[in-house]
Amino acid sequence: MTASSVSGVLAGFFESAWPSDAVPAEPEGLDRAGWASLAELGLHLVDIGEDHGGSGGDLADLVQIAVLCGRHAADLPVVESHLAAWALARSGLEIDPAHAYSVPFGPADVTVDTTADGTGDGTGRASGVLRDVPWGGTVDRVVAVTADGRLIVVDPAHVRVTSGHDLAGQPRDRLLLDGAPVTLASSAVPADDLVLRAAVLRVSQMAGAMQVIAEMTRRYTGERFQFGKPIGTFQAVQAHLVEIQQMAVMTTALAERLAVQPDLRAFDVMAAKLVANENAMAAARAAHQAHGAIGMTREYRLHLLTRRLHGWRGDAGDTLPLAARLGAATAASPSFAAAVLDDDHRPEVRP
Amino acid sequence: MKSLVPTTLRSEERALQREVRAFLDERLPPGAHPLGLGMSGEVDPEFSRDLAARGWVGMALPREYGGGGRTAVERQIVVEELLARGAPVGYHWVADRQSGPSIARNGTEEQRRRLLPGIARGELSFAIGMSEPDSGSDLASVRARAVRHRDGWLINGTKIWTSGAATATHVLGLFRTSEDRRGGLTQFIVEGDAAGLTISPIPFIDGTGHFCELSFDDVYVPDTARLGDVGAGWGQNTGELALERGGVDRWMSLMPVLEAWARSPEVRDSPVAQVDLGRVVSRLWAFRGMSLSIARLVDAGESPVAEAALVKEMATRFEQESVEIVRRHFGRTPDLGSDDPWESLLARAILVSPSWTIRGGTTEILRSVIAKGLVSR
Ligand SMILES: Cc1cc2nc3c(=O)[nH]c(=O)nc-3n(C[C@H](O)[C@H](O)[C@H](O)COP(=O)(O)OP(=O)(O)OC[C@H]3O[C@@H](n4cnc5c(N)ncnc54)[C@H](O)[C@@H]3O)c2cc1C
Repeated sequence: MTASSVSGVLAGFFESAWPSDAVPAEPEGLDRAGWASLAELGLHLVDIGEDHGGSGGDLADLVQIAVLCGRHAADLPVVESHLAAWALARSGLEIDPAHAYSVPFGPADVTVDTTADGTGDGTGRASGVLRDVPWGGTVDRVVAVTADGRLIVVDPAHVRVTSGHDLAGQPRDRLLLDGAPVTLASSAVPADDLVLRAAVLRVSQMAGAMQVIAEMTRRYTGERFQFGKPIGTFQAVQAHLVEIQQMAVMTTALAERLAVQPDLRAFDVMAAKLVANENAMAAARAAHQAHGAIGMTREYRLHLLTRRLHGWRGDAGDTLPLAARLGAATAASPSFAAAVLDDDHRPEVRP
Repeated sequence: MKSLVPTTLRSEERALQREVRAFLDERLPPGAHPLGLGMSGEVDPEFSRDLAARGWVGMALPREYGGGGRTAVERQIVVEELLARGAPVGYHWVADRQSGPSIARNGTEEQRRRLLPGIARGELSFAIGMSEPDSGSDLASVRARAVRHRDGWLINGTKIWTSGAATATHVLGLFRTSEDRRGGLTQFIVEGDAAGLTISPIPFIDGTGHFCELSFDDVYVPDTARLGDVGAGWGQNTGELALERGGVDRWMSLMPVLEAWARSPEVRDSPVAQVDLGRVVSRLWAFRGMSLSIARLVDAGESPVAEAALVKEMATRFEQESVEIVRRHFGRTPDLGSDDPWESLLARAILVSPSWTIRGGTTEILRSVIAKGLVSR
């Protein structure tokens, strides 16, 4: 699939699944029917090789899909399933293309006992907590990299689930493992790689959400009349439109810049996530201001997007820790200018 | 608005980057030249000539007129390295960025042959005569007038805020040739030593003297001083503004300050300062990507005016914010007269940074440009 065919063909699918003018109710767990039609297209398996059970394509295609998820406020774990499936493929484990997967965005404080069953056949028993798992209690499998670098596959049916919600009202659960049976990979994908990939996809979703916020705010301020004219004709309101547009254009450029990197560089991904986090807050603030009271309701679509932005900001790199790590790395590097200008000499940093 | 296609430097472009660095390491060793803040760097004709001898002034001008025939991206690479070091670029800056390309585009064959080789050799220095005491943001209201006289023109009136005019060899100005608001404007190239032209410095807020007022008192120029058709000045000027706004110079004024700050004890020993440094470096890294994409659009023959305004508006505001960040961690008020060149530069940045959102189109005007771009989509 090429990037343009991805965005062209799929825009139609996303529009029918999540119409741009709808204001859906808060999701309750996983929408199985919705998931089935998405899984049939294999959208979450793009940028995973077909020999590993993926759909093929590349990171640029996947970024376009994540942008569409952001644009449509998709309420399915597309990105989460991708991350889990990608980790499985990288670790040599099988992917079930029909399965909905998820990964924890919080720490995976889990220890694994491989001797319990005495088999050593790639299974074990795990104990501990997986935090911040989107749709964690209702997906088919949760995939996590433990603190000691093991990749485990958990069936939520065998764990205790404390269900919760993120700021966007989407399921975000806590999984308590008490000797739960898990599948283990013999070689696990490094946790850093998984975080970087997650950050790229969150940046892409944020870019999509900001694009739509820019479009809807432009439309609204053209239609809403006060003092006898559209509010969009007031310069003070135009300043909000400009800021939202800047944030959307900039964040889109960031996502697309990461999408074409041959290898994800930690510095670039983290810098992009940090900027996207800040842009998201600026765009959300300006959009609410320009909308007035109607934007504060759950009857108008804006909240679907701004609430997601608040949540995504915290995933795979919140602003402060990112800034601290990037700043420390830059301070320790020989040149500030090189960090900005030189593709070959980015400061070394870990996510 | 066009999308900013992501791009990276190609291997020959990286080679150029290394070559420029090596040259500047030798030509401008740290401490041996007065540090400048971006495009308002020191005026040093000798440095400009040396740079030109390497082929790095007038890079984007056509080869047949002594230029480099290079791309906008290649020019950006050179500019980035210069600004990162606070190099003394003041003498050739305007000619290289703006006047040269404008003459190449709008000039006659004779004008190109007469002026472009000197620009590319770093010998000619240009100033921009647009603003007047009563015409700032509303540039179409300019009143300084050119009237036909014998075979040429007589110019009368006042231009103001003309950066670098005192040391420039030429002024490229916008003058009224008829009452039609926009259609009555024409550009002329006036020599700095023309009879009747008085150039008076206006002390700038940091005590420097780049700012000038020009009074034209029956200044006679031949018709060969006219750039483009009579009445074509407004359109040409708008094209020039795109060149003026698009570049990395808009967000790289503070680079030498940030370079020193990033490696100072204030940052090394302070996790709090590192958080701020992380924010600054990330955002500049992001702006750099956008500027590079804009340069590629220019090389593809596009004129990304709205995109340039969009970047300039937010990047100049962020540079101002960065000044405040650095100053906060400095812990005391920096001294303009300090022996430490970095402290003195920070002090200057505090004083002059408000101008970054004024020159080249104010924040408010740029917002209108962007907002119009949004409506006309
Ligand atoms: C460092 C520096 C270098 C310069 N160099 C040059 C040079 O080399 N050559 C040259 O010709 N000029 C130069 N200028 C002048 C510069 O182009 C003008 O300052 C600028 O265009 C603004 O004009 P003004 O200063 O007259 O402000 P004004 O136009 O009077 O504006 C004052 C304030 O009103 C706001 N405003 C005005 N109109 C509107 C509107 N329609 N909507 C909303 N807000 C509005 C402005 O945004 C600003 O905040 C330079 C300026 C600076 C600061």
